[in-house]
Amino acid sequence: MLVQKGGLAHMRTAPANSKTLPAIKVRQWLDEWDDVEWDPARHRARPLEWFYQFSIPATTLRSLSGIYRRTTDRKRAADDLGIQRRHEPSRSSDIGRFVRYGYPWSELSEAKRASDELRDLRQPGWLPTAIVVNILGPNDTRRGRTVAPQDLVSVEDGTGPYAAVTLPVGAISPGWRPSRLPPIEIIDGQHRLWAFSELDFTEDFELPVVAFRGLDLSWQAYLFYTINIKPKRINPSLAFDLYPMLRGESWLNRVDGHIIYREARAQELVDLLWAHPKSPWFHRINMLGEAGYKGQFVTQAAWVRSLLASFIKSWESRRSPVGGLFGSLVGSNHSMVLPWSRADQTAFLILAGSKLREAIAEVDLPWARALRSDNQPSLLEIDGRSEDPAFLGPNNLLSQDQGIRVFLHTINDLCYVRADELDLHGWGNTENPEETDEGRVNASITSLGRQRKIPGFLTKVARVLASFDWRASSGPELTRQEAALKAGYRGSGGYKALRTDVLRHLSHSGGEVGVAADVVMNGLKYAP
Amino acid sequence: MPPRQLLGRARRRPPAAHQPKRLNQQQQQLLHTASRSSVKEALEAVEVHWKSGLWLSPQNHYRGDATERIARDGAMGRGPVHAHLSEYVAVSAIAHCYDGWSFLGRAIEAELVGDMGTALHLAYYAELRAAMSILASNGVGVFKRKHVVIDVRGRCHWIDSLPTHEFAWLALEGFAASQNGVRALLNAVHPGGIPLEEWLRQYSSGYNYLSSQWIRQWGVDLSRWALDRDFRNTVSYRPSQFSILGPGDVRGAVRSVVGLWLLCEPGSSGGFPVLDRYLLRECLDQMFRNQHGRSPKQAPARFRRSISSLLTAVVPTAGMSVEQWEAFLSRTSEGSNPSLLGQAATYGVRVGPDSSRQVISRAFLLMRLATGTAWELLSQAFPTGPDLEPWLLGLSNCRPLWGSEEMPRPLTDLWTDVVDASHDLAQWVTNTEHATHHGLWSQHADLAAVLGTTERLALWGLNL
Repeated sequence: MLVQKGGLAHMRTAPANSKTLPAIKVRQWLDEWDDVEWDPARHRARPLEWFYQFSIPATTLRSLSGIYRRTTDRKRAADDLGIQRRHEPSRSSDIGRFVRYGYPWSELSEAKRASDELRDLRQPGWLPTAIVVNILGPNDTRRGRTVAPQDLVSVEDGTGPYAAVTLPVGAISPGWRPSRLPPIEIIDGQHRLWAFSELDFTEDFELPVVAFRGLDLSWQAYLFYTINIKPKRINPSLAFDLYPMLRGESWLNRVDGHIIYREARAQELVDLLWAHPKSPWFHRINMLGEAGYKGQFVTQAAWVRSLLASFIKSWESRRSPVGGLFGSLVGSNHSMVLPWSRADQTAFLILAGSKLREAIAEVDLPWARALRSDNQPSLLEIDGRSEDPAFLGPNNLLSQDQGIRVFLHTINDLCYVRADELDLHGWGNTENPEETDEGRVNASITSLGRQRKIPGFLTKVARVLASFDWRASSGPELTRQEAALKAGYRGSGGYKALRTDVLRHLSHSGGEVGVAADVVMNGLKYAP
Repeated sequence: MPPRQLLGRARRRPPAAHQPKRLNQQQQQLLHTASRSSVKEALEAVEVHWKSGLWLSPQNHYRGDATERIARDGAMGRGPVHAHLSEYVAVSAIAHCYDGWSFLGRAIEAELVGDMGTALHLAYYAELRAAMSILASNGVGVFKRKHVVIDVRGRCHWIDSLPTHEFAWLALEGFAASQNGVRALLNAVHPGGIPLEEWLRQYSSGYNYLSSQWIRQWGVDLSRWALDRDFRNTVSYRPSQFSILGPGDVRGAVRSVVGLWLLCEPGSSGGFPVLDRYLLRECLDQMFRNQHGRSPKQAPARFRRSISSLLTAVVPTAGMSVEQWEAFLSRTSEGSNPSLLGQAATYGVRVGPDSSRQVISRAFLLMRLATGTAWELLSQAFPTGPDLEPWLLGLSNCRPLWGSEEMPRPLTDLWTDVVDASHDLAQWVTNTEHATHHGLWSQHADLAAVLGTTERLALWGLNL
């Protein structure tokens, strides 16, 4: 009956019509735990210094824990285990559907599932996390009841880490029921088991189990709390950093799962661009959307929308080959996402913005001179730092929603179509988990600065952008014709108008930048 | 009369003669059988026609004048065509939502023109459409004197004899108090991208009363106007010059309208992130007060701890960092409420010079709920998004949202028009010594028109 070598080979033979499950003994105990106040009178008896891990058919575990398929001749579908636990049927139904159909298929309506249109969204519904249980001993009582001797689950320790869990005779048979108290009580995972009570599953669909023996009631409640309530919910954006591959998964895109990542990531990036001292927009974003800053600082919400439209988009449209560097598959084969962490992404944006600011500082073109002579520096002094009105200030498109949007679009799109040449996949993932956000971004900036191609390309793009007239329609010294042209950049129609004109400007510059701009314009089907 | 807290009690109860009637027991029981899932299924069934630019099948029995068809069928002893009627009610949830925003937009235009009587009248009809949209999303169709409840099997049942306005109010009031209503209305609001109900559940305090409180406060016009015929007639049929003090104050009107729009900046997926976080904050304040017997201002440390604990359990995914949320909810930042919330909580027994703004404010909040329930319906019926592109493309012909050029994508780019118009008009009232309605419309009609196109709120709110 036992096939393991070594530790279990000496164990006694189990009765016929019972089943013995091989188990691993997991020792978890620290000396400090000896100082815990054990108090059996308060259901806090000292537990064993180990627990067990094994797998068991879901249907068998269900029977052993008293969770039965509903029948008309039973008043309750679960025996009272002595632990007050509420069951939410809808949650078990959700789990049952998930096991059958996976996500997101399980959340579709019957009609949608029947329509076949979304068939490609069917995926496996694994349940890899363990059900946590307590195996009752012969002396354990619950509301005056004990487990009948013939119904006990026995555990025999072998040598080393091995053990054997022997189920009661007949427990593996369909329809088996304990004669008194069920021998196993569920600490965590009851809804998963309830899911199996309602639906037809094959008898060999197994669940992983973590089993305590003789764990007192108060410790069971404590375990439930630490598993379900205490842990902080994982930040969805962080999840996409831990598994960058998720960014490129098409099924997530179909059901807007990416929205969670994109929105959270966009806000985090804006927050870092505002907060990082090396950012050209350090304390120069209207984070609370306060009135009175129009034309000086772009709001956080506008920045978020612009990042979502550019770097963090999946694709421009179904027809366009231009995706977002942080949100889609990148490279000529469109097979991989960039494994850039949040710090890497921030560093890239800071570098691009810094290059533009430096390039503008060097130009002495009429548009820049007009903005500089028109504005008073004191208006643009924040945190003791003066700003170049040609980069940031009133009457400057770069201080308006449309300008930021087009800047982000331009950097993203040109780098996207040159991803292979720039070897974007060859950099990234420089995060040091021990440091602060600022420290991590600093490390990424340093690392990015050492790359051979990326900084040089960003410099070239910045120099061409700096030769574009960024005055707004309200800007100084505009001719009538120029003012009329720039009036077209106002309002919702202004995004496309400005983007088109900037791309044309880049295209006319020729060279590496011009070639990239041409590719983007072709991809977007913009007239040259 | 100073503005009152949004969730506080009304200063004065309506006179006894105006206390609302009740639905009889049979009607109430019937309303409890209304099924949202049936509406969802009906909406899924009808989507196939949207590609052709039609809301319903050309063969739908209720296409055209549904009210007349229902009355005629009733006179001839014919029962409802269940599938067709269910589909009609399902799409009406979306259509009423859009129409409600249209009415509100026209009300805002009237307010900016200085015609407060018309503003009040149209804002009331926006409220009525909001109620009809919310009910339709949840299985109740409001018609003329014969209304319908769709049960879980998709069968339609009539509720007879109550006029439209009266039934709409009574059904909405009853719905808000039901378990389904609590869930639907609290999940219509999404602060930080998370349904309000989830926030409140984590706050460890009872919250089931909140949806009823909202509807009672924001639906006060519906309750009075539906049941107080004299009041309705005063505004709708009597010469406005005799009953409403005027003309309106153009500065106040512009500031009020700009203040409304400041709450409307869409998130990346549309919605109402700014408004929703104010609503959340008001709810938390109320719940803290109920739980501890003191206001957050009286027990700031305790309140901050409760907020901190809440933000550990609820991780907002969009809009602001956790630190910003903590500062906002504990009123360390943006401590004051928007004036719109105060206006919505204020009503006078008689129609007065501020009445139109108060009704506009309440209409706006009810429309927010209606849009949220319609959005929930759409997103549940179409997890990968509804195909409403043909309808959207046709909008440019009947609403001045964009010109003949390409429809902007994303639609949230339309926000920038509002920013420009709000800023420029706000500057104008500040810098103009003798600002008049005539001056506003002769010099800045284009800007005022932008602020009147609240249809864009339907598009953002439904995440189209």
